[in-house]
Amino acid sequence: MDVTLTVREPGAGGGDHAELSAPDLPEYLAGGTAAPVLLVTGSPYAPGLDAVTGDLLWQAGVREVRVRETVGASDGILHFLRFLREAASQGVDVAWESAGDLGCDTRLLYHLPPPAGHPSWRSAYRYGLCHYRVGPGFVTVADRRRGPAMPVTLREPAEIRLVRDLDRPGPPEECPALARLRRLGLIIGAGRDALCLPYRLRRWPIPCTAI
Amino acid sequence: MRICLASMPWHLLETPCLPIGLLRARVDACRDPHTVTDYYGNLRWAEYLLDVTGGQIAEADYSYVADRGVWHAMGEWIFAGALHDNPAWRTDTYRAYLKAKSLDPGASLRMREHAAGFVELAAREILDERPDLVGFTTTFQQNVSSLAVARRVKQLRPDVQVVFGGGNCDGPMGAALHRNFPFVDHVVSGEGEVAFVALLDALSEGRTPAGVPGLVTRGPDGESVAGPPAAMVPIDLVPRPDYTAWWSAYRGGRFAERLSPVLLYEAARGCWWGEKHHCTFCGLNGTTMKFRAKPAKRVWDDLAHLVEAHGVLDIVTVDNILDLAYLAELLPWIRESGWDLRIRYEVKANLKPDQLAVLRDAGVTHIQPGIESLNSRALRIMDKGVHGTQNVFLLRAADEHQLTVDWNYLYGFPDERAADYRPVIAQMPAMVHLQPPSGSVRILIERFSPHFRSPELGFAERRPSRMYRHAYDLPEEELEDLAYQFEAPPQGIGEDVAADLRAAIAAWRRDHAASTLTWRETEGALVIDEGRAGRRRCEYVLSDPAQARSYRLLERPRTVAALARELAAEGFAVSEETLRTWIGELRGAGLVFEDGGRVVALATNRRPLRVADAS
Repeated sequence: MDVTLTVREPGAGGGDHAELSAPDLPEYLAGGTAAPVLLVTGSPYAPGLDAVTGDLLWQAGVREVRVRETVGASDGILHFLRFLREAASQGVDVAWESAGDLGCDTRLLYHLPPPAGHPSWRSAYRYGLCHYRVGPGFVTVADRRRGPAMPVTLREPAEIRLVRDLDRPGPPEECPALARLRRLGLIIGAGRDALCLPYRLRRWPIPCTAI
Repeated sequence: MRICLASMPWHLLETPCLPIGLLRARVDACRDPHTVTDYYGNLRWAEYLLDVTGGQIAEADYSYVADRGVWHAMGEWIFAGALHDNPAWRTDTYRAYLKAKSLDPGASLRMREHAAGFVELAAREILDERPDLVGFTTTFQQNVSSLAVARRVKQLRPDVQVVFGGGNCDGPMGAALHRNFPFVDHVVSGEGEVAFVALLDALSEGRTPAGVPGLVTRGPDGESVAGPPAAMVPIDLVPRPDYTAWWSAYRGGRFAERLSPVLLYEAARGCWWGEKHHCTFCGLNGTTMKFRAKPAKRVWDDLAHLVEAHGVLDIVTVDNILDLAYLAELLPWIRESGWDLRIRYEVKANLKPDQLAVLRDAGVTHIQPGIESLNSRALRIMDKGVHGTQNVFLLRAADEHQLTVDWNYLYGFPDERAADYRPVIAQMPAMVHLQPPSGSVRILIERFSPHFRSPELGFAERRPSRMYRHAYDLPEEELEDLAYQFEAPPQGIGEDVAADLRAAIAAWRRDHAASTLTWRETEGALVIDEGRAGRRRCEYVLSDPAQARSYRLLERPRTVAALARELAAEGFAVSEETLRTWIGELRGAGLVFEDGGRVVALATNRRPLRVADAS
């Protein structure tokens, strides 16, 4: 047995990065182990990112995803925001660039990993900033995107259904519950579709009292 | 009868009062029906402070006195002026105490100015409910505020019966309280579920309650008459707490918009470890160590009911130790509920990784495993039943399972030596990526602990803690019975070693948030990413299969001999001498922790999720 401990520069082995195109991502992650840093090429609205879930990222041990293509206002923006939300829900960082206009109030996105060159977003962003937790017959939403605030408890079945159904972008049915959740900034729309912005908190940070 | 149950300061503002919740439910077992109202003097006091100071004294100031002040009777001193009808009572004593301890008084000095006004208000609000009997539950710093209000209640309505109970009334403390405060008619000493019901039955039937087991009452001339000791309460008689009235008070009060509520729950009493080996410093179980746990089904029903009724997902259990049977039944049921709970539990430190996973999956996110020390010899002195490396293993496994750990480094044990601390202190910089202790503290002597009961353990010269002098106007021999905390000439390590320990822990706490140390398997090797504060970023590459395998085997604490045997069994013939050299190499890079002849790996299998990470 060699009793010498080999020390090298970080990343010298090259095994901590992997480059792949968005459509290949879900299958790559499903393998269970991934490089800690993923460089993703191809359209950020492509079906690949759309299929990535927080659980997949977590189980594969991904620490950071770098998205090559610039993101801007597009019909597919909700799909990219959903991907950001899934990454944020596991504390996975995403490096990405915004073309400027994302077609929505960016302050509603402060709980998601910020794009490059957006200092106010970056300073506001922290894990758990806007999340929800499920209980028997209710959902508790903790939303501190605009500063300290007490959690809000949703008890209306229609509201709880919307939170669940708009986990992925889809066309919602106009109803009072939708109007209320939009007013609270918990659901945003683009075109005909809408998306639920807070993520379900499945991983507690250490310390768990920090959120 | 009309009964008012009161919880006075310094009960926390965000939690219901468990004793009131339990007794409220137990009143149903009385022969006659009674009307019960609750009085949350803790909430009312905090609201009163907000009002009279225009918001200058707020919940953070209250929490400081409740959390930090509990070790210094801060909250007791605040109300002692009202109890003694003298706003300046022992202010000099209190100031001298703070100075000697280098303690920040917080808002305590300003709070005292308002205490008498609040005592008057509280007494009148309680009497507005037209009670025949007022029960005060008292634990930690609730004695003096309760006494002050009880005294005023009795002045205003001498016919009202005043009852005290709670942790502060266990054993001789209850009798001392009764003996020294004549306006207290009855004291329930020990667990109250049976004695309180017997007291109510006697009073409502016009009988004297004298002789009720666990009760101290007044004889014809006002003298204290103690009943026989109460039998231990069977767990079947411990009801589901009724928090309905608390919920109304909390929701209707000012703090619902300022603090998130946390439910308290008690699944078990006593300590199964303490029954076999009583940790020498622990007095928490009072007079009843016998472990009793509610059946899993009842706990599940209770929790489901409470979560649903109040819409609250945060739960703190007050059990002194987790019933391991819950790992097989209760916790999997909670997991299957799919609810996103956040539960805090006290556990024993020797839990295995699969057991930690069961806890995590059920929403137990926060554990207090009683780590106390990372040195095996010190742990043996305190009869903890764990090895120092097991505690480090737990800290590492907790990170890997996303469990928050509360712990404290205790010192000051008889027969401990500097040599039990120096090697651990030297290794602390290697552990900065693991969760640090909240601090280090020289042990106090708690009533009911082996240190208290057995002078031969080294604390024969004990006396009631100095803090009681700014709480009570009582002679030393009465404090001897009334006090829970005692002090004695220091034992064990000197202040020089203690100061080094403090400094090392302060550095650990400072460096923790910016530190990680993780391993991964890649390119056929085990690669450890160095990310600890104060060290150069690098990768340690264990490319020799025997190196990689030895590190993985050290995930569990092992002696070098055991490691050699296991490696040999897997086909790696490595001599103990070679292994010792290798372990020395790992130790040099701070990749393993060593204590008491065992070694354990320090790198975690994934980066912990921390709030600061994401910024």
